Amino acid sequence: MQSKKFEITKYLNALGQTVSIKNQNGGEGDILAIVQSFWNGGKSRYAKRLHKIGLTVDDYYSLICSADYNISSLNENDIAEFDNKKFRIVHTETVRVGNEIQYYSATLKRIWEEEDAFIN
Amino acid sequence: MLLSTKINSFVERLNACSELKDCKIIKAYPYSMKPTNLKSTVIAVSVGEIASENVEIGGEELYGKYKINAYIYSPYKINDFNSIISLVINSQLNAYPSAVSVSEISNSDDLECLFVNCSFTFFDSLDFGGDENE
Repeated sequence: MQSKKFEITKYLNALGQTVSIKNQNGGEGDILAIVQSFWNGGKSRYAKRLHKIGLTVDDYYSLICSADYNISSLNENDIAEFDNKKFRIVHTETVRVGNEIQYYSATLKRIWEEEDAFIN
Repeated sequence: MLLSTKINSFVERLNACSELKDCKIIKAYPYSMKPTNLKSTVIAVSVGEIASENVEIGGEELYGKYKINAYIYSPYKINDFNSIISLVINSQLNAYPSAVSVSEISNSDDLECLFVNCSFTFFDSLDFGGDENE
Protein backbone atom coordinates (compact mmCIF):
# COMPACT_ATOMS: atom_id res chain seq x y z
CA MET A 1 0.00 0.00 0.00
CA GLN A 2 1.33 3.39 -1.01
CA SER A 3 1.51 6.35 1.31
CA LYS A 4 -1.03 9.06 0.44
CA LYS A 5 0.06 11.43 3.16
CA PHE A 6 0.73 14.32 0.80
CA GLU A 7 -2.69 14.17 -0.91
CA ILE A 8 -4.59 13.57 2.34
CA THR A 9 -2.84 16.45 4.07
CA LYS A 10 -3.49 18.76 1.11
CA TYR A 11 -7.23 18.05 0.96
CA LEU A 12 -7.83 17.93 4.71
CA ASN A 13 -6.13 21.29 5.17
CA ALA A 14 -8.00 22.79 2.22
CA LEU A 15 -11.46 21.51 3.15
CA GLY A 16 -11.21 21.37 6.92
CA GLN A 17 -12.90 23.75 9.30
CA THR A 18 -11.20 25.38 12.25
CA VAL A 19 -11.60 23.37 15.44
CA SER A 20 -10.33 24.81 18.68
CA ILE A 21 -8.72 22.33 21.07
CA LYS A 22 -8.43 23.12 24.77
CA ASN A 23 -6.46 20.64 26.79
CA GLN A 24 -6.76 20.01 30.50
CA ASN A 25 -3.48 21.79 31.27
CA GLY A 26 -4.82 25.08 29.90
CA GLY A 27 -3.13 24.77 26.50
CA GLU A 28 -5.13 25.93 23.51
CA GLY A 29 -4.72 25.65 19.75
CA ASP A 30 -6.60 25.50 16.48
CA ILE A 31 -6.54 22.66 13.99
CA LEU A 32 -8.09 22.19 10.55
CA ALA A 33 -10.33 19.14 10.49
CA ILE A 34 -13.29 17.60 8.77
CA VAL A 35 -16.05 16.94 11.26
CA GLN A 36 -19.24 15.10 10.62
CA SER A 37 -21.96 13.53 12.61
CA PHE A 38 -21.10 9.93 13.38
CA TRP A 39 -24.57 8.51 12.95
CA ASN A 40 -25.39 10.21 9.67
CA GLY A 41 -26.69 6.87 8.36
CA GLY A 42 -29.19 6.34 11.16
CA LYS A 43 -31.23 9.37 12.10
CA SER A 44 -33.24 7.47 14.70
CA ARG A 45 -30.17 7.49 16.92
CA TYR A 46 -30.77 11.19 17.45
CA ALA A 47 -34.10 10.57 19.16
CA LYS A 48 -33.88 12.00 22.65
CA ARG A 49 -34.47 9.69 25.60
CA LEU A 50 -36.05 11.02 28.75
CA HIS A 51 -34.51 9.96 32.04
CA LYS A 52 -35.31 11.02 35.58
CA ILE A 53 -32.57 13.62 35.43
CA GLY A 54 -33.21 14.88 31.91
CA LEU A 55 -32.91 14.14 28.23
CA THR A 56 -29.99 12.37 26.62
CA VAL A 57 -29.05 11.86 22.99
CA ASP A 58 -26.22 9.92 21.34
CA ASP A 59 -24.70 12.84 19.49
CA TYR A 60 -21.30 11.52 18.47
CA TYR A 61 -19.11 13.08 15.81
CA SER A 62 -16.07 11.91 13.91
CA LEU A 63 -13.12 14.23 13.34
CA ILE A 64 -10.38 13.69 10.78
CA CYS A 65 -7.32 15.92 10.62
CA SER A 66 -4.06 15.78 8.73
CA ALA A 67 -0.75 14.48 10.04
CA ASP A 68 0.27 18.13 10.62
CA TYR A 69 -1.80 18.16 13.83
CA ASN A 70 -0.90 15.47 16.33
CA ILE A 71 -4.07 14.86 18.33
CA SER A 72 -3.13 11.36 19.47
CA SER A 73 -2.29 12.51 23.01
CA LEU A 74 -5.71 14.06 23.62
CA ASN A 75 -8.02 12.31 26.06
CA GLU A 76 -11.50 12.64 27.57
CA ASN A 77 -10.49 15.61 29.71
CA ASP A 78 -9.72 17.69 26.61
CA ILE A 79 -12.33 19.75 24.83
CA ALA A 80 -12.86 20.42 21.12
CA GLU A 81 -14.92 23.45 20.17
CA PHE A 82 -16.49 24.54 16.89
CA ASP A 83 -19.78 26.06 15.72
CA ASN A 84 -20.20 27.36 19.29
CA LYS A 85 -20.54 23.78 20.51
CA LYS A 86 -18.29 21.90 22.89
CA PHE A 87 -17.22 18.30 22.44
CA ARG A 88 -15.42 15.78 24.59
CA ILE A 89 -12.67 13.67 22.99
CA VAL A 90 -13.84 10.08 23.43
CA HIS A 91 -11.14 8.30 21.43
CA THR A 92 -8.26 9.08 19.07
CA GLU A 93 -6.61 6.96 16.43
CA THR A 94 -3.51 7.30 14.30
CA VAL A 95 -3.72 5.90 10.76
CA ARG A 96 -0.37 4.76 9.39
CA VAL A 97 0.91 3.19 6.22
CA GLY A 98 4.12 1.50 7.20
CA ASN A 99 5.68 3.90 9.64
CA GLU A 100 4.31 7.01 8.00
CA ILE A 101 1.32 8.72 9.62
CA GLN A 102 -1.41 9.37 7.05
CA TYR A 103 -3.92 11.21 9.23
CA TYR A 104 -5.45 11.30 12.70
CA SER A 105 -9.05 10.58 13.55
CA ALA A 106 -11.06 11.11 16.72
CA THR A 107 -14.51 10.40 18.06
CA LEU A 108 -16.21 13.33 19.78
CA LYS A 109 -19.24 13.54 22.01
CA ARG A 110 -21.28 16.73 22.32
CA ILE A 111 -21.16 18.31 25.76
CA TRP A 112 -24.34 19.73 27.22
CA GLU A 113 -23.50 22.18 29.95
CA GLU A 114 -24.88 22.21 33.49
CA GLU A 115 -26.48 25.61 32.86
CA ASP A 116 -28.65 24.22 30.03
CA ALA A 117 -30.32 21.73 32.31
CA PHE A 118 -32.53 21.43 35.35
CA ILE A 119 -34.81 24.34 34.46
CA ASN A 120 -37.87 23.03 36.21
CA MET B 1 -52.88 17.63 51.96
CA LEU B 2 -52.36 17.54 48.20
CA LEU B 3 -49.81 15.15 46.72
CA SER B 4 -47.85 18.03 45.21
CA THR B 5 -47.60 19.60 48.67
CA LYS B 6 -46.13 16.38 50.01
CA ILE B 7 -43.54 16.34 47.23
CA ASN B 8 -42.69 20.00 47.90
CA SER B 9 -42.32 19.28 51.63
CA PHE B 10 -40.04 16.36 50.81
CA VAL B 11 -37.87 18.62 48.60
CA GLU B 12 -37.82 21.34 51.29
CA ARG B 13 -36.54 18.86 53.87
CA LEU B 14 -33.76 17.84 51.48
CA ASN B 15 -32.90 21.50 50.83
CA ALA B 16 -32.84 22.18 54.57
CA CYS B 17 -30.01 19.66 55.01
CA SER B 18 -26.85 21.78 54.86
CA GLU B 19 -24.63 18.79 54.05
CA LEU B 20 -26.59 18.31 50.80
CA LYS B 21 -26.01 21.89 49.65
CA ASP B 22 -23.66 20.70 46.89
CA CYS B 23 -26.34 18.40 45.45
CA LYS B 24 -28.89 19.55 42.89
CA ILE B 25 -32.39 18.64 43.99
CA ILE B 26 -34.97 18.48 41.21
CA LYS B 27 -38.36 16.98 40.48
CA ALA B 28 -37.95 13.90 38.25
CA TYR B 29 -38.18 14.02 34.45
CA PRO B 30 -37.18 17.62 33.67
CA TYR B 31 -37.69 18.33 29.96
CA SER B 32 -34.20 19.69 29.38
CA MET B 33 -30.89 18.18 28.33
CA LYS B 34 -28.97 16.34 31.00
CA PRO B 35 -25.47 17.77 31.43
CA THR B 36 -23.09 15.39 29.63
CA ASN B 37 -20.73 15.43 32.58
CA LEU B 38 -22.48 15.68 35.92
CA LYS B 39 -20.43 18.00 38.11
CA SER B 40 -22.36 17.23 41.27
CA THR B 41 -24.82 14.72 42.67
CA VAL B 42 -28.40 15.12 41.44
CA ILE B 43 -31.40 13.99 43.49
CA ALA B 44 -34.59 13.55 41.45
CA VAL B 45 -37.77 13.31 43.50
CA SER B 46 -40.97 11.69 42.25
CA VAL B 47 -44.13 10.02 43.49
CA GLY B 48 -44.01 6.25 43.82
CA GLU B 49 -46.91 3.96 44.60
CA ILE B 50 -50.07 5.10 46.34
CA ALA B 51 -52.50 2.79 48.15
CA SER B 52 -55.22 4.60 50.03
CA GLU B 53 -58.70 3.74 51.33
CA ASN B 54 -61.77 5.63 52.36
CA VAL B 55 -61.76 6.44 56.04
CA GLU B 56 -65.54 6.00 56.19
CA ILE B 57 -68.14 4.69 53.74
CA GLY B 58 -69.29 7.54 51.57
CA GLY B 59 -66.63 9.80 52.97
CA GLU B 60 -64.30 11.91 50.88
CA GLU B 61 -61.19 11.52 52.97
CA LEU B 62 -58.67 8.94 51.84
CA TYR B 63 -56.09 7.52 54.17
CA GLY B 64 -53.27 5.18 53.38
CA LYS B 65 -49.70 4.84 52.32
CA TYR B 66 -47.82 6.60 49.59
CA LYS B 67 -44.24 6.33 48.45
CA ILE B 68 -41.90 9.12 47.47
CA ASN B 69 -38.79 8.09 45.58
CA ALA B 70 -35.52 9.98 45.72
CA TYR B 71 -33.31 8.85 42.84
CA ILE B 72 -29.71 9.78 43.56
CA TYR B 73 -27.33 10.16 40.59
CA SER B 74 -23.66 10.75 41.19
CA PRO B 75 -20.76 11.21 38.79
CA TYR B 76 -18.25 8.35 38.86
CA LYS B 77 -15.65 10.59 40.51
CA ILE B 78 -17.75 11.17 43.65
CA ASN B 79 -16.27 8.84 46.24
CA ASP B 80 -18.61 9.40 49.14
CA PHE B 81 -21.79 8.02 47.60
CA ASN B 82 -22.82 6.09 50.72
CA SER B 83 -22.73 9.19 52.93
CA ILE B 84 -25.05 11.00 50.49
CA ILE B 85 -27.54 8.13 50.80
CA SER B 86 -27.33 8.38 54.60
CA LEU B 87 -27.87 12.15 54.50
CA VAL B 88 -30.93 11.81 52.25
CA ILE B 89 -32.47 9.27 54.61
CA ASN B 90 -31.55 11.31 57.67
CA SER B 91 -33.14 14.45 56.20
CA GLN B 92 -36.53 12.68 56.05
CA LEU B 93 -36.57 11.05 59.48
CA ASN B 94 -38.29 13.97 61.20
CA ALA B 95 -41.27 13.43 58.83
CA TYR B 96 -41.64 9.93 60.35
CA PRO B 97 -41.60 7.67 57.29
CA SER B 98 -43.08 4.26 58.05
CA ALA B 99 -40.57 2.49 55.81
CA VAL B 100 -37.39 3.30 53.93
CA SER B 101 -35.87 1.08 51.28
CA VAL B 102 -32.71 1.58 49.29
CA SER B 103 -31.97 -0.25 46.07
CA GLU B 104 -28.61 -1.65 45.08
CA ILE B 105 -26.11 0.90 43.73
CA SER B 106 -25.90 0.55 39.96
CA ASN B 107 -24.06 2.32 37.20
CA SER B 108 -25.56 3.68 34.02
CA ASP B 109 -23.32 3.82 30.95
CA ASP B 110 -25.92 5.92 29.19
CA LEU B 111 -26.03 8.59 31.90
CA GLU B 112 -22.37 8.12 32.87
CA CYS B 113 -23.12 8.03 36.57
CA LEU B 114 -23.92 5.85 39.56
CA PHE B 115 -27.48 5.74 40.79
CA VAL B 116 -29.56 4.43 43.63
CA ASN B 117 -33.23 4.70 44.54
CA CYS B 118 -34.22 5.63 48.09
CA SER B 119 -37.89 4.92 48.58
CA PHE B 120 -39.81 6.43 51.52
CA THR B 121 -43.24 5.17 52.57
CA PHE B 122 -45.52 7.47 54.57
CA PHE B 123 -48.93 6.89 56.14
CA ASP B 124 -51.17 9.91 55.96
CA SER B 125 -54.47 11.25 54.70
CA LEU B 126 -54.44 12.16 51.05
CA ASP B 127 -56.28 14.86 49.18
CA PHE B 128 -56.38 14.69 45.42
CA GLY B 129 -57.99 18.08 44.99
CA GLY B 130 -61.45 18.82 43.64
CA ASP B 131 -64.07 21.44 44.28
CA GLU B 132 -65.17 21.58 47.89
CA ASN B 133 -68.57 23.05 46.93
CA GLU B 134 -69.56 20.12 44.71
